[in-house]
Amino acid sequence: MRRLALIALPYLWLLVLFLVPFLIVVKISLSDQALAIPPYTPTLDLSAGWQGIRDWASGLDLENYWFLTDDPLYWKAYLSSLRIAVLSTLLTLMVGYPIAYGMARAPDHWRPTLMMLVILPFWTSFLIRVYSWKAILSQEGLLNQFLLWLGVIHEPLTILNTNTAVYIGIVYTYLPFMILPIYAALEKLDQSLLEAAEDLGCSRLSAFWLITVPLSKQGIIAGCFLVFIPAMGEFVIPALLGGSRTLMIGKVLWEEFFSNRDWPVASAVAVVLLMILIVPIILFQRNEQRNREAEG
Amino acid sequence: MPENTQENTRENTVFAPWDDPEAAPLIEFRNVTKRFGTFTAIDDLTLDIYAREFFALLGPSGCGKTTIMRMLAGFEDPSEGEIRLGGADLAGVPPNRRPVNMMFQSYALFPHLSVWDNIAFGLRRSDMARDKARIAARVEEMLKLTRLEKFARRKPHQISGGQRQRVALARSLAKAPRLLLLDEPLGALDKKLRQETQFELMDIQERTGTTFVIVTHDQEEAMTVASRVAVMDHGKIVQVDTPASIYEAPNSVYVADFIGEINIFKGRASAPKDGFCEIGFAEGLAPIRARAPEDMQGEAEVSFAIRPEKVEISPERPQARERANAYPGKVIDIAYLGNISTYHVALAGGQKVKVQAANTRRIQRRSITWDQQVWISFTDTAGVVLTR
Ligand SMILES: Nc1ncnc2c1ncn2[C@@H]1O[C@H](COP(=O)(O)OP(=O)(O)OP(=O)(O)O)[C@@H](O)[C@H]1O
Ligand SMILES: [Mg+2]
Repeated sequence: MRRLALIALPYLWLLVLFLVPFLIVVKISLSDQALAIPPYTPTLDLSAGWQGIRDWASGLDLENYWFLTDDPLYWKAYLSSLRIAVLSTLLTLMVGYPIAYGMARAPDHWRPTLMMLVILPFWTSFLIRVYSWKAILSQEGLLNQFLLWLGVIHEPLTILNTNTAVYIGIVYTYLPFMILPIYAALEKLDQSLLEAAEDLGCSRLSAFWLITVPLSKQGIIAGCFLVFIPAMGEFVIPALLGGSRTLMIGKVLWEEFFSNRDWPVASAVAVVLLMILIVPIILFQRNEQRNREAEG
Repeated sequence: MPENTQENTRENTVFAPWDDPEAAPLIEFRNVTKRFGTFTAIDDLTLDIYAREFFALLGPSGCGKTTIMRMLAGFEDPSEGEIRLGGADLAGVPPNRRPVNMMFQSYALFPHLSVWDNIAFGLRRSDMARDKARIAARVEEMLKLTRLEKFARRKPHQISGGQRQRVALARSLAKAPRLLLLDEPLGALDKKLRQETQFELMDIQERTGTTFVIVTHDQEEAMTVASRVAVMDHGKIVQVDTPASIYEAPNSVYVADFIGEINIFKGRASAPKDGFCEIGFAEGLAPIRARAPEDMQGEAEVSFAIRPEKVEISPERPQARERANAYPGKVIDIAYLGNISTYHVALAGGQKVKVQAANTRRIQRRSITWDQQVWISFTDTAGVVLTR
């Protein structure tokens, strides 16, 4: 009985916090927009009994999904999100890996401090941190002032409200998610393996490629998924730092919900986004699973 | 152990480059000191190792054996002094540019590579790199040598500890380096496989002419395989010599005690006369007559060391005149080990003596039992007098 309860608990959790809301979203995505509260029909009228359920069910259709394929805005937004997410994941990896490597190689007594520094930003609101990037990246921002002062540039650069700013924002925000799993993998790495590689004729650099990188692969994969998945649906960063030409599905979703009040289409957008993300999520889970098996 | 030593005292007396003042050593340690912070791991070490040697480092845990190996492989730099290989200073030469391969105490197998790829790793980074067929042939040869053919495709975590050790051995042998460093290469193997591998190593050594430096905790192993043994203590080498000399003529109580079993009598030696001295070790007992060490002058506090198998035990006082030393005692314990028996005999002064005797003349030996009054005796050349 206790074991059953233990197993049931995570499932209950999943049911309440994921499956139920998801089914509600699916339901809305199958409805039609309406000027009402809530702003869609049909609504489920349980007081009408069986007949009510049947009326409700017959009112559902896939119209909104067809609509998504009609308007190029949507698939363009998906594609653009995908591109931004992939590119920013790679950028985060390029920035995060050396940091994680440095942390793993740092003297033992430094590591807790470095770890603290990596997670310190989480202590302030995400919104405020992204907002402050506006002050850094704007025409009169700190970055431009600094570069002008250095004499590297003579005209202020336009960074804010471009995709570049979005990349910077995503890399900045999700960097810890990249660093931590890679650091965990690198920290476990036995230094004598690198010595053995050198002993067998590798230079430092080739030992890094042949030993360190393959052995931190699991960390790299985990970090990439942890950045890619939220970056794909990111809304706040493109909204605050991106320009009018930054097209991301998170933004489209927001506009459908709050500007157009078209809940059914917004829901359909969300469901499709989830379908797209399910693939990497499953891959991620598999990776974790394999990881555990290899270690166990 | 004594049998081993006798047997393996190398027949080819020709091979003794350390006695040849002309011979140029392959490795020279010149006043090498290695400090980790304030801790001195290697203390002013000067040592020559010659080409084609099978050199064993023996010593208790933490005495600095691995540190010596790591300095040779290039992972640690000496804090002071100089290490030369073939006459050239090794300082600043990175590990991948040294003609040296090391088998790590922790094996350091690459967990993401199969056994096959682990062994091929070094070959792929040698001048053989282009020649896939040659690499394959060499790997197969190594697999066969270490009897790992069946496990070639497995990953290190899918094989047993002993098999892993063999992979590490095969990997370090594959490149046929000039100098091979083996840090406890056989510790995880069972006795039979260990002996086979020991002979395999000696065979490889003879065939390839590679110079081996081997670290071991197992003195029997050191005695079996080594051309010379260095006994270490706290970062210093106490004695370097052939296994037979180390066993028969230890230069200190430390070495005598470290290698094999030994009886130590502490006492005061008289000034040597005709090369012999007399050591009084207990009230009321005749002093031990023994050959005095050459550097001994006058009286001295000494330890007399004698191996258990050099002591004779008999129920009666022995008659033979060459048995210069004879003492009565009581048997307090007998350990029967099949081919040999060890008798623990307490002498009148309380001194305990271990006596080892081969069980050949069964009837006579059997007559000695617990609590029996017996005589122990030994000749005046059976033991050594140690001044330190
Ligand atoms: N990197 C290091 N930093 C500080 N001390 C070290 C370091 N490496 C070794 N030591 C110390 O140097 C001494 C010699 O170490 P070493 O590894 O050479 O011992 P060993 O003879 O190989 O012992 P074992 O038989 O247990 O392998 C030990 O006391 C060890 O603690
Ligand atoms: Mg060691």
